[in-house]
Amino acid sequence: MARGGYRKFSGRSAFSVQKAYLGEDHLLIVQGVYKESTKRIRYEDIEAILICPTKTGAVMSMLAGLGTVLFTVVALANLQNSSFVLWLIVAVVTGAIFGLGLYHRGSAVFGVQTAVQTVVLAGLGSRRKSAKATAQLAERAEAVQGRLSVEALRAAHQARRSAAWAARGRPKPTAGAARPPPIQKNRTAPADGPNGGQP
Amino acid sequence: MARPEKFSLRALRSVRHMPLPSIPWVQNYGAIHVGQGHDVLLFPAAVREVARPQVDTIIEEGQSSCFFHPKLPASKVCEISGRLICDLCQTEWNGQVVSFEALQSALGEASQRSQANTRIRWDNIALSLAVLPLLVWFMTLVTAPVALAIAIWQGRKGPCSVVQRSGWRYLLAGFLALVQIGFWVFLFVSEFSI
Repeated sequence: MARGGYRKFSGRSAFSVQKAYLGEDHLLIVQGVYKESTKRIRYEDIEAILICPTKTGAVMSMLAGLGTVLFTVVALANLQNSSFVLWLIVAVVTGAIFGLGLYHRGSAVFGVQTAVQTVVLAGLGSRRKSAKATAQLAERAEAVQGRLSVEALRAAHQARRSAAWAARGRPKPTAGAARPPPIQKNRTAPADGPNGGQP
Repeated sequence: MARPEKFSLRALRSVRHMPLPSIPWVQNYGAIHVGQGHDVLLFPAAVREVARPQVDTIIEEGQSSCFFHPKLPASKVCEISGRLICDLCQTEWNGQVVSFEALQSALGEASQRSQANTRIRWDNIALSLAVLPLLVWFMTLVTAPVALAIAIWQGRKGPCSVVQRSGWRYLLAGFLALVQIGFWVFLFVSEFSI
Protein backbone atom coordinates (compact mmCIF):
# COMPACT_ATOMS: atom_id res chain seq x y z
CA MET A 1 0.00 0.00 0.00
CA ALA A 2 1.29 3.45 -0.91
CA ARG A 3 1.56 6.46 1.36
CA GLY A 4 -1.59 8.04 2.78
CA GLY A 5 -3.71 4.90 2.50
CA TYR A 6 -3.49 4.84 -1.28
CA ARG A 7 -3.59 1.56 -3.12
CA LYS A 8 -2.04 1.22 -6.55
CA PHE A 9 -4.64 1.16 -9.30
CA SER A 10 -2.63 1.51 -12.49
CA GLY A 11 1.05 1.92 -13.29
CA ARG A 12 3.08 3.49 -16.03
CA SER A 13 2.77 2.40 -19.62
CA ALA A 14 5.33 2.35 -22.41
CA PHE A 15 4.38 5.85 -23.54
CA SER A 16 3.06 7.49 -20.38
CA VAL A 17 4.26 8.21 -16.86
CA GLN A 18 0.74 8.51 -15.50
CA LYS A 19 -0.13 6.43 -12.44
CA ALA A 20 -3.36 6.05 -10.55
CA TYR A 21 -4.13 5.14 -6.94
CA LEU A 22 -7.30 4.26 -5.11
CA GLY A 23 -7.84 6.43 -2.07
CA GLU A 24 -10.47 6.31 0.63
CA ASP A 25 -12.99 8.50 -1.17
CA HIS A 26 -11.27 9.39 -4.42
CA LEU A 27 -9.21 8.14 -7.31
CA LEU A 28 -5.83 9.86 -7.39
CA ILE A 29 -4.12 10.34 -10.76
CA VAL A 30 -0.44 11.22 -10.62
CA GLN A 31 1.39 12.53 -13.67
CA GLY A 32 4.98 13.52 -14.20
CA VAL A 33 8.45 12.34 -13.21
CA TYR A 34 10.26 15.47 -12.04
CA LYS A 35 7.21 17.64 -11.47
CA GLU A 36 4.39 15.60 -10.08
CA SER A 37 0.89 16.87 -10.66
CA THR A 38 -2.10 15.19 -9.11
CA LYS A 39 -5.76 15.05 -9.96
CA ARG A 40 -8.47 13.72 -7.71
CA ILE A 41 -11.73 12.19 -8.88
CA ARG A 42 -14.18 11.55 -6.08
CA TYR A 43 -16.01 8.25 -6.29
CA GLU A 44 -19.34 10.01 -5.93
CA ASP A 45 -18.62 12.07 -9.06
CA ILE A 46 -17.85 9.14 -11.37
CA GLU A 47 -20.60 8.92 -13.95
CA ALA A 48 -19.30 6.13 -16.14
CA ILE A 49 -16.42 3.80 -16.81
CA LEU A 50 -15.66 3.43 -20.49
CA ILE A 51 -13.52 0.79 -22.15
CA CYS A 52 -12.76 1.02 -25.83
CA PRO A 53 -11.15 -2.15 -27.25
CA THR A 54 -8.44 -1.43 -29.82
CA LYS A 55 -6.70 -3.51 -32.45
CA THR A 56 -3.14 -2.59 -31.44
CA GLY A 57 -2.70 -5.59 -29.15
CA ALA A 58 -4.05 -8.05 -31.70
CA VAL A 59 -1.73 -6.71 -34.41
CA MET A 60 1.28 -6.83 -32.06
CA SER A 61 0.42 -10.38 -31.00
CA MET A 62 0.03 -11.48 -34.58
CA LEU A 63 3.39 -9.99 -35.55
CA ALA A 64 5.02 -11.54 -32.48
CA GLY A 65 3.48 -14.91 -33.34
CA LEU A 66 4.77 -14.73 -36.90
CA GLY A 67 8.16 -13.69 -35.58
CA THR A 68 8.21 -16.63 -33.19
CA VAL A 69 7.54 -19.11 -35.99
CA LEU A 70 10.04 -17.43 -38.29
CA PHE A 71 12.85 -17.23 -35.74
CA THR A 72 12.23 -20.79 -34.54
CA VAL A 73 12.62 -22.01 -38.11
CA VAL A 74 15.79 -19.95 -38.52
CA ALA A 75 17.13 -21.28 -35.23
CA LEU A 76 16.43 -24.87 -36.26
CA ALA A 77 18.10 -24.22 -39.61
CA ASN A 78 21.21 -23.09 -37.73
CA LEU A 79 21.14 -25.98 -35.30
CA GLN A 80 24.76 -26.91 -35.98
CA ASN A 81 26.03 -23.32 -35.98
CA SER A 82 26.99 -21.13 -33.07
CA SER A 83 24.27 -18.61 -34.01
CA PHE A 84 21.60 -21.14 -32.95
CA VAL A 85 21.51 -19.77 -29.39
CA LEU A 86 21.10 -16.19 -30.64
CA TRP A 87 18.16 -17.10 -32.89
CA LEU A 88 16.64 -19.18 -30.14
CA ILE A 89 16.79 -16.24 -27.72
CA VAL A 90 15.09 -13.98 -30.29
CA ALA A 91 12.42 -16.65 -30.85
CA VAL A 92 11.83 -16.98 -27.10
CA VAL A 93 11.52 -13.19 -26.70
CA THR A 94 8.99 -12.88 -29.53
CA GLY A 95 7.18 -15.92 -28.15
CA ALA A 96 6.98 -14.24 -24.76
CA ILE A 97 5.50 -11.12 -26.38
CA PHE A 98 2.97 -13.32 -28.17
CA GLY A 99 2.12 -15.08 -24.91
CA LEU A 100 1.71 -11.77 -23.08
CA GLY A 101 -0.63 -10.57 -25.81
CA LEU A 102 -2.78 -13.67 -25.40
CA TYR A 103 -2.70 -13.35 -21.61
CA HIS A 104 -3.83 -9.71 -21.72
CA ARG A 105 -6.64 -10.59 -24.18
CA GLY A 106 -5.93 -7.63 -26.45
CA SER A 107 -5.52 -3.91 -25.93
CA ALA A 108 -8.04 -1.32 -24.80
CA VAL A 109 -8.39 2.29 -23.72
CA PHE A 110 -9.79 2.79 -20.24
CA GLY A 111 -11.53 6.03 -19.28
CA VAL A 112 -13.43 7.47 -16.36
CA GLN A 113 -16.07 10.11 -17.01
CA THR A 114 -17.28 12.71 -14.56
CA ALA A 115 -19.58 15.66 -15.12
CA VAL A 116 -16.70 17.89 -16.15
CA GLN A 117 -14.05 15.66 -17.69
CA THR A 118 -13.17 12.28 -19.13
CA VAL A 119 -9.82 10.97 -17.92
CA VAL A 120 -8.03 8.23 -19.84
CA LEU A 121 -5.84 6.01 -17.65
CA ALA A 122 -2.90 5.07 -19.82
CA GLY A 123 -1.65 2.29 -17.54
CA LEU A 124 -4.73 0.15 -18.13
CA GLY A 125 -3.98 -0.62 -21.75
CA SER A 126 -5.13 -4.22 -21.91
CA ARG A 127 -8.54 -5.85 -21.69
CA ARG A 128 -7.51 -8.00 -18.74
CA LYS A 129 -6.25 -5.00 -16.75
CA SER A 130 -9.30 -2.97 -17.74
CA ALA A 131 -11.68 -5.67 -16.56
CA LYS A 132 -9.86 -5.95 -13.24
CA ALA A 133 -9.76 -2.17 -12.81
CA THR A 134 -13.47 -1.87 -13.66
CA ALA A 135 -14.33 -4.34 -10.91
CA GLN A 136 -12.19 -2.47 -8.36
CA LEU A 137 -13.40 1.00 -9.26
CA ALA A 138 -17.04 -0.04 -9.63
CA GLU A 139 -16.97 -1.59 -6.18
CA ARG A 140 -15.80 1.69 -4.65
CA ALA A 141 -18.05 3.93 -6.70
CA GLU A 142 -21.09 1.78 -5.98
CA ALA A 143 -20.28 1.72 -2.29
CA VAL A 144 -20.69 5.51 -2.33
CA GLN A 145 -23.36 6.02 -4.98
CA GLY A 146 -25.23 2.75 -4.96
CA ARG A 147 -25.99 0.73 -8.05
CA LEU A 148 -27.82 2.27 -10.98
CA SER A 149 -30.88 0.19 -11.79
CA VAL A 150 -32.38 -0.22 -15.25
CA GLU A 151 -35.62 1.34 -13.99
CA ALA A 152 -33.85 4.43 -12.66
CA LEU A 153 -31.97 4.86 -15.94
CA ARG A 154 -35.15 4.49 -18.00
CA ALA A 155 -36.96 6.93 -15.73
CA ALA A 156 -34.15 9.43 -16.21
CA HIS A 157 -34.33 9.00 -19.98
CA GLN A 158 -38.11 9.47 -19.85
CA ALA A 159 -37.82 12.56 -17.65
CA ARG A 160 -35.25 14.05 -19.98
CA ARG A 161 -37.43 13.44 -23.02
CA SER A 162 -40.41 15.01 -21.27
CA ALA A 163 -38.33 18.01 -20.26
CA ALA A 164 -37.09 18.40 -23.83
CA TRP A 165 -40.65 18.35 -25.19
CA ALA A 166 -41.80 20.77 -22.51
CA ALA A 167 -38.98 23.13 -23.39
CA ARG A 168 -40.13 23.12 -27.01
CA GLY A 169 -43.62 24.03 -25.85
CA ARG A 170 -45.24 21.04 -27.48
CA PRO A 171 -47.14 18.18 -25.88
CA LYS A 172 -45.27 14.92 -25.74
CA PRO A 173 -46.39 12.58 -28.54
CA THR A 174 -48.01 9.37 -27.43
CA ALA A 175 -47.34 6.00 -28.95
CA GLY A 176 -50.71 5.71 -30.71
CA ALA A 177 -50.92 9.26 -31.97
CA ALA A 178 -51.29 9.81 -35.69
CA ARG A 179 -48.17 11.10 -37.39
CA PRO A 180 -48.40 14.60 -38.81
CA PRO A 181 -48.75 14.78 -42.57
CA PRO A 182 -45.51 15.23 -44.48
CA ILE A 183 -44.57 18.73 -45.52
CA GLN A 184 -45.71 19.41 -49.04
CA LYS A 185 -42.92 20.66 -51.19
CA ASN A 186 -43.47 22.56 -54.37
CA ARG A 187 -42.02 19.95 -56.65
CA THR A 188 -41.83 20.17 -60.38
CA ALA A 189 -42.87 17.10 -62.28
CA PRO A 190 -40.42 15.72 -64.82
CA ALA A 191 -40.67 17.21 -68.28
CA ASP A 192 -41.43 13.86 -69.82
CA GLY A 193 -44.17 13.12 -67.25
CA PRO A 194 -47.89 13.03 -67.87
CA ASN A 195 -48.29 16.75 -67.12
CA GLY A 196 -45.46 17.82 -69.37
CA GLY A 197 -43.41 19.48 -66.65
CA GLN A 198 -46.33 21.22 -64.92
CA PRO A 199 -46.77 20.58 -61.17
CA MET B 1 -10.51 17.56 -21.96
CA ALA B 2 -13.76 18.84 -23.32
CA ARG B 3 -16.69 19.11 -20.97
CA PRO B 4 -19.11 16.33 -21.86
CA GLU B 5 -22.77 17.14 -22.29
CA LYS B 6 -25.13 15.85 -19.63
CA PHE B 7 -26.78 12.59 -20.66
CA SER B 8 -23.99 11.82 -23.08
CA LEU B 9 -20.72 9.93 -23.03
CA ARG B 10 -17.54 11.12 -24.61
CA ALA B 11 -15.74 8.67 -26.88
CA LEU B 12 -12.28 7.72 -25.67
CA ARG B 13 -10.57 7.87 -29.05
CA SER B 14 -12.34 10.82 -30.63
CA VAL B 15 -14.04 14.03 -29.61
CA ARG B 16 -17.52 12.79 -30.47
CA HIS B 17 -20.27 12.06 -27.97
CA MET B 18 -22.76 9.25 -27.73
CA PRO B 19 -26.06 9.21 -25.85
CA LEU B 20 -26.42 7.26 -22.63
CA PRO B 21 -27.35 3.62 -23.20
CA SER B 22 -30.68 2.31 -21.92
CA ILE B 23 -29.09 -0.20 -19.53
CA PRO B 24 -26.31 0.52 -17.00
CA TRP B 25 -23.83 -2.10 -18.25
CA VAL B 26 -23.49 -2.58 -21.96
CA GLN B 27 -20.74 -3.94 -24.19
CA ASN B 28 -19.71 -2.79 -27.65
CA TYR B 29 -21.98 0.24 -27.46
CA GLY B 30 -21.83 3.45 -29.45
CA ALA B 31 -20.21 2.29 -32.69
CA ILE B 32 -22.94 3.97 -34.75
CA HIS B 33 -22.51 7.24 -32.84
CA VAL B 34 -18.74 7.55 -32.45
CA GLY B 35 -17.34 4.96 -34.83
CA GLN B 36 -15.99 2.55 -32.21
CA GLY B 37 -17.73 0.26 -29.76
CA HIS B 38 -17.27 0.92 -26.04
CA ASP B 39 -17.97 -1.16 -22.97
CA VAL B 40 -19.91 1.20 -20.70
CA LEU B 41 -20.68 0.93 -17.01
CA LEU B 42 -22.93 3.69 -15.71
CA PHE B 43 -23.30 4.93 -12.15
CA PRO B 44 -26.14 6.92 -10.53
CA ALA B 45 -24.14 10.15 -10.94
CA ALA B 46 -24.74 9.91 -14.69
CA VAL B 47 -28.45 10.60 -14.25
CA ARG B 48 -28.25 12.76 -11.12
CA GLU B 49 -29.96 16.06 -11.62
CA VAL B 50 -27.82 18.96 -10.49
CA ALA B 51 -29.82 21.68 -8.79
CA ARG B 52 -29.00 24.90 -10.58
CA PRO B 53 -29.09 28.07 -8.50
CA GLN B 54 -31.95 30.30 -9.55
CA VAL B 55 -31.46 34.03 -9.18
CA ASP B 56 -34.79 35.75 -8.89
CA THR B 57 -35.32 39.37 -9.69
CA ILE B 58 -34.63 40.78 -6.27
CA ILE B 59 -33.17 44.09 -7.29
CA GLU B 60 -35.78 46.75 -7.24
CA GLU B 61 -35.12 50.30 -8.22
CA GLY B 62 -34.43 52.52 -5.23
CA GLN B 63 -34.55 49.71 -2.66
CA SER B 64 -31.31 47.79 -2.99
CA SER B 65 -27.88 49.25 -2.56
CA CYS B 66 -24.43 48.03 -3.48
CA PHE B 67 -22.71 45.89 -0.84
CA PHE B 68 -19.47 47.83 -1.23
CA HIS B 69 -21.00 51.26 -1.91
CA PRO B 70 -24.11 51.68 0.28
CA LYS B 71 -24.92 55.01 -1.31
CA LEU B 72 -25.01 53.61 -4.83
CA PRO B 73 -27.91 51.56 -6.19
CA ALA B 74 -27.16 47.92 -6.96
CA SER B 75 -27.56 46.86 -10.53
CA LYS B 76 -26.36 43.23 -10.59
CA VAL B 77 -25.78 40.21 -8.39
CA CYS B 78 -22.25 38.83 -8.18
CA GLU B 79 -22.46 35.27 -9.51
CA ILE B 80 -19.67 34.06 -7.23
CA SER B 81 -20.50 35.65 -3.88
CA GLY B 82 -24.17 36.40 -4.45
CA ARG B 83 -23.76 39.99 -3.25
CA LEU B 84 -25.61 42.92 -4.74
CA ILE B 85 -23.14 45.10 -6.60
CA CYS B 86 -23.24 48.39 -8.44
CA ASP B 87 -21.89 49.26 -11.88
CA LEU B 88 -18.58 50.34 -10.37
CA CYS B 89 -17.91 46.99 -8.70
CA GLN B 90 -18.82 44.62 -11.48
CA THR B 91 -16.73 42.98 -14.13
CA GLU B 92 -17.04 39.95 -16.36
CA TRP B 93 -15.08 36.76 -15.83
CA ASN B 94 -15.66 33.53 -17.75
CA GLY B 95 -18.98 34.88 -18.96
CA GLN B 96 -20.15 35.64 -15.41
CA VAL B 97 -20.89 38.96 -13.80
CA VAL B 98 -18.73 39.09 -10.69
CA SER B 99 -17.47 41.62 -8.20
CA PHE B 100 -13.78 42.51 -8.15
CA GLU B 101 -13.39 41.23 -4.60
CA ALA B 102 -14.94 37.84 -5.37
CA LEU B 103 -12.84 37.58 -8.52
CA GLN B 104 -9.67 38.29 -6.56
CA SER B 105 -10.44 35.63 -3.96
CA ALA B 106 -11.49 33.11 -6.63
CA LEU B 107 -8.25 33.61 -8.55
CA GLY B 108 -6.24 33.32 -5.35
CA GLU B 109 -7.94 30.05 -4.42
CA ALA B 110 -7.42 28.67 -7.92
CA SER B 111 -3.74 29.53 -7.76
CA GLN B 112 -3.34 27.90 -4.33
CA ARG B 113 -5.17 24.81 -5.52
CA SER B 114 -2.95 24.41 -8.55
CA GLN B 115 0.18 24.85 -6.40
CA ALA B 116 -1.03 22.26 -3.91
CA ASN B 117 -1.63 19.78 -6.74
CA THR B 118 1.92 20.11 -8.06
CA ARG B 119 5.10 18.94 -6.36
CA ILE B 120 8.70 18.87 -7.47
CA ARG B 121 10.14 15.36 -7.19
CA TRP B 122 13.56 16.14 -5.77
CA ASP B 123 14.22 12.41 -5.19
CA ASN B 124 13.82 11.64 -8.89
CA ILE B 125 15.92 14.67 -9.82
CA ALA B 126 18.71 13.58 -7.46
CA LEU B 127 18.61 9.98 -8.71
CA SER B 128 18.63 11.06 -12.35
CA LEU B 129 21.56 13.37 -11.68
CA ALA B 130 23.41 10.50 -10.09
CA VAL B 131 22.67 7.90 -12.77
CA LEU B 132 22.09 9.46 -16.20
CA PRO B 133 25.39 11.43 -16.45
CA LEU B 134 27.26 8.11 -16.17
CA LEU B 135 26.64 7.82 -19.91
CA VAL B 136 28.87 10.87 -20.37
CA TRP B 137 31.13 10.07 -17.44
CA PHE B 138 33.09 13.34 -17.20
CA MET B 139 29.82 15.17 -16.52
CA THR B 140 29.73 13.47 -13.13
CA LEU B 141 32.40 15.90 -11.95
CA VAL B 142 29.63 18.50 -11.80
CA THR B 143 26.48 16.41 -11.37
CA ALA B 144 27.64 14.16 -8.52
CA PRO B 145 28.10 17.02 -6.00
CA VAL B 146 24.77 18.49 -7.11
CA ALA B 147 23.02 15.14 -6.65
CA LEU B 148 24.61 14.72 -3.22
CA ALA B 149 23.58 18.24 -2.21
CA ILE B 150 19.98 17.62 -3.27
CA ALA B 151 19.92 14.25 -1.50
CA ILE B 152 21.12 15.87 1.75
CA TRP B 153 19.17 19.15 1.43
CA GLN B 154 15.82 17.67 0.39
CA GLY B 155 16.21 14.18 1.85
CA ARG B 156 15.89 15.56 5.38
CA LYS B 157 12.41 16.81 4.55
CA GLY B 158 11.26 13.31 3.74
CA PRO B 159 9.49 11.94 0.68
CA CYS B 160 8.15 14.61 -1.62
CA SER B 161 5.49 12.51 -3.32
CA VAL B 162 1.85 12.23 -2.34
CA VAL B 163 1.91 8.48 -2.65
CA GLN B 164 5.47 7.21 -2.23
CA ARG B 165 6.49 6.88 1.38
CA SER B 166 10.04 5.58 1.24
CA GLY B 167 13.11 7.71 0.68
CA TRP B 168 15.21 5.03 -1.01
CA ARG B 169 15.77 7.25 -4.03
CA TYR B 170 17.55 9.83 -1.89
CA LEU B 171 19.67 7.11 -0.30
CA LEU B 172 20.60 5.54 -3.62
CA ALA B 173 21.30 8.93 -5.21
CA GLY B 174 23.47 9.96 -2.25
CA PHE B 175 25.37 6.67 -2.33
CA LEU B 176 26.02 6.84 -6.08
CA ALA B 177 27.03 10.50 -5.84
CA LEU B 178 29.48 9.65 -3.04
CA VAL B 179 31.01 6.85 -5.12
CA GLN B 180 31.42 9.22 -8.08
CA ILE B 181 32.95 11.93 -5.90
CA GLY B 182 35.26 9.33 -4.40
CA PHE B 183 36.31 8.31 -7.90
CA TRP B 184 37.11 11.92 -8.84
CA VAL B 185 39.03 12.50 -5.59
CA PHE B 186 41.05 9.34 -6.23
CA LEU B 187 41.70 10.45 -9.82
CA PHE B 188 42.90 13.93 -8.79
CA VAL B 189 45.04 12.63 -5.94
CA SER B 190 46.69 10.02 -8.15
CA GLU B 191 47.30 12.63 -10.87
CA PHE B 192 48.87 15.15 -8.49
CA SER B 193 50.92 12.53 -6.68
CA ILE B 194 52.57 11.57 -10.01
